[in-house]
Amino acid sequence: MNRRRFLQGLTLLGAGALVRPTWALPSGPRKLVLVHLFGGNDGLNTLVPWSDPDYRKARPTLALSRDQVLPIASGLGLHAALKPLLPLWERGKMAIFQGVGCSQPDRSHFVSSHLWHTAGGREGWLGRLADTQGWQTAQVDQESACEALWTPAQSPLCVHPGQPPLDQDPQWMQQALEGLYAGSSSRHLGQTYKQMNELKSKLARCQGEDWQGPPLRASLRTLLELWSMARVFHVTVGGFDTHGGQDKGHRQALTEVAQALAEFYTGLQAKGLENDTAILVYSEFGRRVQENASQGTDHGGAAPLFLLGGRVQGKLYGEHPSLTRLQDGDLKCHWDFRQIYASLLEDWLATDSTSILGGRFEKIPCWS
Amino acid sequence: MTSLREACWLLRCCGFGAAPRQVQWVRRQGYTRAVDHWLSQTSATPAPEGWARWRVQSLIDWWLERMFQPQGFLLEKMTLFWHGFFTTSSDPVFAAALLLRQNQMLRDNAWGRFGDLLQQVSRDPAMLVYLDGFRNKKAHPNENFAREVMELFTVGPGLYSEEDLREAARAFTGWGVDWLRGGTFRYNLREHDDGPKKFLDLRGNLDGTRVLQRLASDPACALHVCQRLWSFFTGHPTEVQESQRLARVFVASHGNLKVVLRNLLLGDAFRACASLRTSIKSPLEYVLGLSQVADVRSWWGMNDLKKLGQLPFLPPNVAGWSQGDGWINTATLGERLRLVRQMQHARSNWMQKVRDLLQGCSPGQAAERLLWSTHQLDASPELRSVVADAYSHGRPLPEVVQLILASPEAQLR
Repeated sequence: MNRRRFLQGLTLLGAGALVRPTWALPSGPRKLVLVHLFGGNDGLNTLVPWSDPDYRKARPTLALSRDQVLPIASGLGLHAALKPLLPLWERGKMAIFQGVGCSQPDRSHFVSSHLWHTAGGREGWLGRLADTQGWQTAQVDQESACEALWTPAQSPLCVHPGQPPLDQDPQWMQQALEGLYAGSSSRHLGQTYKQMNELKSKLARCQGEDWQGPPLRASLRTLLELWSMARVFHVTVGGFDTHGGQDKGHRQALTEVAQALAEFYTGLQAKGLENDTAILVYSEFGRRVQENASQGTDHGGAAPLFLLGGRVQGKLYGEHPSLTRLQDGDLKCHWDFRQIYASLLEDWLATDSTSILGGRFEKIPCWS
Repeated sequence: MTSLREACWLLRCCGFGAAPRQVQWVRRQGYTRAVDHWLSQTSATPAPEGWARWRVQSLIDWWLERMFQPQGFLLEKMTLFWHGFFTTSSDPVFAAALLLRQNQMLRDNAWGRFGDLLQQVSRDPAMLVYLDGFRNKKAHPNENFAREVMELFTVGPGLYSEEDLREAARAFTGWGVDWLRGGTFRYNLREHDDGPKKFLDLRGNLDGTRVLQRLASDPACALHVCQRLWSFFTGHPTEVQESQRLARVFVASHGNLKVVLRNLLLGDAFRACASLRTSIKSPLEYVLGLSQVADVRSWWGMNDLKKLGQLPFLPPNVAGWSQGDGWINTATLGERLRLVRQMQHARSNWMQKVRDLLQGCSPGQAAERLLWSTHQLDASPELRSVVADAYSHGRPLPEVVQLILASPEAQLR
């Protein structure tokens, strides 16, 4: 049931008979946060089929044993580094879709990221969303290479976390620049400078040592400060291209993601925003089932995808992909990633997914 | 005499900055002669020393050094255009030697015939790796290159069917890389599908060469290339009439790129853009321009270029960098201003020269000299008065210089 149909239902019931379900309580606009784990996260060592003998066979040095995972279902566990997210799982606020990808995967970071960013079209899916809805978007990371994601809309608010603030400059200079930019012959320059000034007050707190540290943590903390300024946020974090010596690097990367997400989620709760927020954590591909000769894994196919939020129906979706029926050495996908996009667009943001995704993709009911 | 503004515009579009000496040279020579002089420069580029051991980093340094030179910048600009047009990224093509060879090839053919350039690019090992051409075999055709060569490199979408695309991919089968001979082009006939094919209006046992010839001579290809040239050299969105005019020149000259580029730069439409003052400098233009101002190199790092949004050999996607307004967002503008702030700390020698130059000047004269020193000869009256005002209020000179270089005009061509 989408928001509009639900509201229609309310009218039919009549106001007197209305018993408000919790999710009809007055709340702010629904928002979407996307976190891209760039590099190709090893899904098999994230949601781990630890008891599967084929898993141990394919991963002679990298396989995690029962005491290295957090069991969440029969034979399945989360990498122990994800412990900070366990409370969310236990509260039913984290959905895990198993085996997400597409039928014609590509093993280039570049091409595959482009695919996820454009949903297979020439323009970005978030750009089309922003364009059709007239929404402000924001990108909070050190990347500049996401531009395909945002076409054809106006550029998003972009923030590099930890960038020194403008007000380091003397007051007279700031005033002079403000005047020059306001009168600039380039409207785009003038507008961007104005937006930058609006951001300035929001970002004033995001300075100093406390805002350094792991990039995703800095990004998400900064993002929370900007909350009121956009509807859709995108963050990229690297460190997942684990071709060699994967064990340590992957654990480190997952730890940082889990800690940052848990802290972010707590921040949302503290501001009463949990129920207005959906957080999608994805990667451009998973990794090869068979580990390589350098205790690492190479670029692969399908992988699990995580969705967090107060309205999310937290559970495991789909089945774990088979470790023996492979596609060119990679896990096959059970869900097309655009099905998740469609569920977000239709059921979470109440928009038309067909025009944004350039086709009809079957939704996955995953909201409570 | 060419106007000051027009000379600055021409230099910033054709190169990476408008140093006063160059501006004066253009004004003395005259607009047309200046363009013809730049177009007459040779393209021979011997391989740099020790390149065999290079990493991508050295390659970037080498190229930026070439862009920095007072001669040959138009050729480097055109090479940069082709680098963004026939994109190849150091992810996944991390072999610097292949990227260097491609870069040399683009430079050597930068203003030759488009048809020749297209044939060379399609046989280029870095490109064969980047768009999976080397995986394209008779038994398992890979369509990646065939798709992009039509959609991005020649005719543009809408003029061919998926069937044409599959047939083109068949025609390219067997083109690959000979890794045993240092990664050179190799046509493996055993992997080539020599069956009959139907591609657009062609029939027969077509090979890659024939398909590329057909594409390069299509009027739609002429228009596509001219539109991209226009937006690269002006930083403005496509101008329909001017692109069509240039496309006619392209067709009439059989894709002679020097003729097309000359027509673009001498055209009324291009010259009229000078007065708009809305074309945003690319990050490379901005950074190299700042370097020219203080005559220092590499006070910035590769990470700065990445944050500004333009690191050579790492284009954002297969369609290359978007030009114009796309360069500026709230983060990249902030990075530009940060860089200027850093630069003023790093440049004490140069600042001393500026100080000497301003001895005993009136505020008006000082403003002129400061704008001269910061290569803003064509500054607007608004900027002039802000600078004169700052000077007469006794603002510290490094701060006034920072203001000029951070101003919106310094972001524009």
